[in-house]
Parts: sequence; C-alpha cells; structure tokens
Amino acid sequence: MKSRSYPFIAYFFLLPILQVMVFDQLDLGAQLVPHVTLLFLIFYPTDADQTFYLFAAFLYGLYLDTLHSTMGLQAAACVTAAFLRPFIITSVFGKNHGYVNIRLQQTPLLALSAYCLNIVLIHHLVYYVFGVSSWTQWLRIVQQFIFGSLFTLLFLIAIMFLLQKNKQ
Amino acid sequence: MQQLVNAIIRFRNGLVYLLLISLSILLLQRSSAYHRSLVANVSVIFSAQLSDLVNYFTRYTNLIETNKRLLKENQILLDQILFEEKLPSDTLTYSSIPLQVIRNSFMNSYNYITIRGGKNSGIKNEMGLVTAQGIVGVVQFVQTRYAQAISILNKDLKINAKLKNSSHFGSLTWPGDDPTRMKLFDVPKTAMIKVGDTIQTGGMSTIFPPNLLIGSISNFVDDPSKSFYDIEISLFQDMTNLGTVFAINHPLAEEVKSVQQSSNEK
Repeated sequence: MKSRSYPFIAYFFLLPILQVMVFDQLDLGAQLVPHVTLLFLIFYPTDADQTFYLFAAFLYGLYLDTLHSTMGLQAAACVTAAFLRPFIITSVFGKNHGYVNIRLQQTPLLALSAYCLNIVLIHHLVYYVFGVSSWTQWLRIVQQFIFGSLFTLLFLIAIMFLLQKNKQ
Repeated sequence: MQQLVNAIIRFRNGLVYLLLISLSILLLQRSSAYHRSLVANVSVIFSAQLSDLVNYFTRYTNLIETNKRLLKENQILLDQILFEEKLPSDTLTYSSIPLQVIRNSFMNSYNYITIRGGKNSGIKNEMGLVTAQGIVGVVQFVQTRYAQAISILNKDLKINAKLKNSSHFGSLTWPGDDPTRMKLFDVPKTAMIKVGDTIQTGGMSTIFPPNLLIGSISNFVDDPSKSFYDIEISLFQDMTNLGTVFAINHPLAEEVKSVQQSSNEK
C-alpha cells in the first residue's frame, strides 16, 4: 500500500465522525447541514484507479448511511458524484489535467470552488431527490437542494481557504 | 467473445457505477422494515455515543429554552393529575421514565429518535415515548446506555388512535411529507367529526396508555364512495424540537403480550 493512501484511510474514517459530532450540530433548521464529508470524494487522488474509487465512494456512503440511519441514500449520492468526477475535472481543469492530482496549495481557490460546486450539486441532487418522501413537497425539496448546496459549498471553500493559508 | 470482454473492460466503470447505484436504490426502496431497523440498530451502537458527547455541550446553551419547555410541561402534567383525580381510580398505574433526546431526524421517510437511557434506566422494547404535548415514538432497540425509537414520523409505524368526543377508533400513520401532520384512517362514517376535534391514543396495545394527546383534526375528506373518513391530523407536539421525553412503562406489558401470543397460537 502506498504511503500516500494513509491520509485518505484516515479521512475515510474520521470525516464522517467529525460530521456527526460537529457539522450535524450546525443545523440551520429543516435539517440543513453542511456535508463536509464530501472532502474525501473531492481530494481522493485523481490518478488512482477509477473502479476502486467507485467502490471506495460506495463504502464511504454506506458508512455515512450507518451513522445517519439513512439506508442507501448517501451511498447513491456518493457513488454518483464519484462516477461523474472525471468529467467534472475535465470540464473545470481542462483535458490536459490528466494524471496530476488536485493539490490545495497549487490549485487556485476559484478553480477549486468551481470543481467543488459541481461535486456538491451532483451529490445534493441525488441526495435530496432519492431521499424525497413525497413529491407533494417538491418546493421544499428544491429549496433544500439550493440552500443545502450553497451551505455545503460555503463550508468547503472556508475549510480549503483556511487550509491553504495554514500551509502557506 | 473477445470483443465483448474488451467492451466490458472498456466500460467497466460505467458498469460498476450501474451495479452500485442499483444496489443503493435497492437498499433505499426495497429494504424491509427489518433491514432498516437493523441499520438503525448499528447506528445506535456507532453514533449514539458521538451524538451524546456533542449533546452534553450543546445542552448548556439551550438551558433557557429547556426551562421554558419544562415549565410548560409541568403545568400541563399538573392539569392532567388534577383532572384524573376527579375520575374513578384506574386499575392500572403507569409509570414514566424521563429521557434526553440526543438525536432526532424528521426529514426522511423513515425517521428515528436516539435517546440517552437504555437497559440501565429500565428501558425496554416497545415502550411508548411521550411528552406533555403528545406521543413521539416507540422504543425499538435498547442498548445498555442508549436506545433508539421509531419516530411517529416513520412510514412503518401505525398507531391506534381514537376521537376524544366519540371514541371511534382509527389507524394513525405518517404519509411522509409534512412533519407537523399525520393521517388517520379507518374511522367509520358513523362518527360525527369536525375540524378541531382532538385525537387521542386508543390504548389498544401495551405501548401507549389510552387518552394521551396526539393532535387535532385539521382537515378531512368525506368521499361518498368510501365508508371511512380520510382525516388529516395536526400534531400537538412539534416533532422538529424534542428535548426531554418520557418512556411509558405498562405495568402488565409482559402478561398482556403472553396472553396475546397464546391466543394467536390457538
């Protein structure tokens, strides 16, 4: 196992725990919480095997489902975001990005934000559409999708900004 | 054949995605109540202690709000005691155990409540959870220090309920949209109902004692082609804001269950 895998194994287990303990408590009402667990999907090495990444995302989603008592909901959202990530990387960073990993210090915050926005939108779209209990409440679902995505994105950008500053 | 293998290898990520997303949807849609509750049980073991740790700190910031709610609950409970003293004494004496809610979901189709208090506090399976405003759930899994209850906002749960005015019984379920409203089915049209009528627990099981508050009728449909009303209930208890709840201990729960089991076997 490559030594650079160790941080990601740690993120895999620790981010969901951090989510439950800290970020789930920042409820803006109507269970609108920032999904910072997406950092694992965002920063997973882009040159790693995509098939393995899909399985990792699925297991990560199931782990989140177990912590939140949501059977299969996070798994579906995470695996969809993971599947579409190569297309997002190509569209945001260009075709030449290839096998270069996304690094906090070397990537401009604006490009990182655009990349995060796409991942967040896909994840939240699946999360709220699959989690819908009744379509009579479609307006509320749309509102949750929009505000939930913005809330998550805001947190992700803030975390990345702080980490960038810290590393500099 | 070689071409087929090549195609599979080439599109393996797409195929893996289809497989995993199908599996997720299968888990999401087709999982039985048993499987969902199994996951909920694992969730208690893993995340209840985490939530409890956080809850320990956040409780201090909510003390003013909690005090207000406790005062109100005390007042309502006192009213109930005074009211019951006027009635002939009941043959059963229910007891209650106060519990702290440490996690409560209300936005999914199948919601659960995690509470601090388990076997150590005398909590057992199928105990009803109530507040002074109304019923909130049914205990489903009990660990040593924590327990998980099915929220009344869970599509799997059906609760026996009755009209306060006429004692007609019905079945209360959550349709899965609004956390402030539930549906009451199977109330026959012989019952005279109107908007604003109070709905109480029916007391036909050992989970909830009879005459506990649930909500009031906010709307109802009188469909001539059906012999039962379709009633919408507005809940008295705000299910999005739960602090302290009480687990109801039925004094003869075990006896009643054994009688029901033996009659079922016959």
